[in-house]
Amino acid sequence: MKRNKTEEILSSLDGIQRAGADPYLYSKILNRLAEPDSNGKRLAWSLAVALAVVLVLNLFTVFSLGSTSRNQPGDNATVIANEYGINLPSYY
Amino acid sequence: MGSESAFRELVAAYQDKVYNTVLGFVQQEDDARDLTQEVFIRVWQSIKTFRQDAALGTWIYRIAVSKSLDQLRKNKRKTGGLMGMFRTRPLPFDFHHPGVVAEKKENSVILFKAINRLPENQKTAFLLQKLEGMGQQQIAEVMDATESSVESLLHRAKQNLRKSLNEFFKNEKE
Repeated sequence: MKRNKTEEILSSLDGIQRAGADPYLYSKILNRLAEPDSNGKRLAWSLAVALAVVLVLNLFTVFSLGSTSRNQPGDNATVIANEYGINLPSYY
Repeated sequence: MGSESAFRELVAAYQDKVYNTVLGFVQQEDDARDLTQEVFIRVWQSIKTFRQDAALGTWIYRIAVSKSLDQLRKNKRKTGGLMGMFRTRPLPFDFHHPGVVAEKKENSVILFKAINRLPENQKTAFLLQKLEGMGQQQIAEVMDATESSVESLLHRAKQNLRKSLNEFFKNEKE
């Protein structure tokens, strides 16, 4: 019984009719052939994304540098002077 | 201009054969329509490099089979792995081939599911035989294989399909 059913299923594609393609296939192919190259499009998008990332990173760097407190002029000189035991001249 | 009209004739002559073949592989009408377009775009782009060591029809079938297998691999990658969880493509579904006679429709749905589990080369040989009515020699030309290897592929395909169908009945009973 099971064997018969298996064989019945196996032969279910016998006498199958060919499925018909889209009647507008040819004009769709022509439209796709007229489109710009999809590889070129992909490259343009990749370049745009890369440029946007670089721009965002630059802006981030500029703003983060701007927000950190800057050293007062002379601070570095004092640190070095203390390190080497030099007395810095006072102008006052 | 001449090549355009020749291309139009070529599309008219092979469109149903190509669509029917790719439909058997991808089992989705939208995908099959897109793939059919891609097959003919490839034909248009590479017709100049077509060497006549194979018949034109064989060459077109080769493109159709290779595009279909690529699409299946792509679908497998999309639905597999971690990223598969985020894809929306529907998984196993019932495929009703429009050319199957009414009283065999239900059985053919089960058969197409079993066909999906076959290895690529067995699936190709079986589908070309069943859907396109090709003989072993023609299948061998499309698959660039020998007739005896096609005979063996078809034999193993039927064995594997029987095995899958028996498992299907076993699971159905449980």
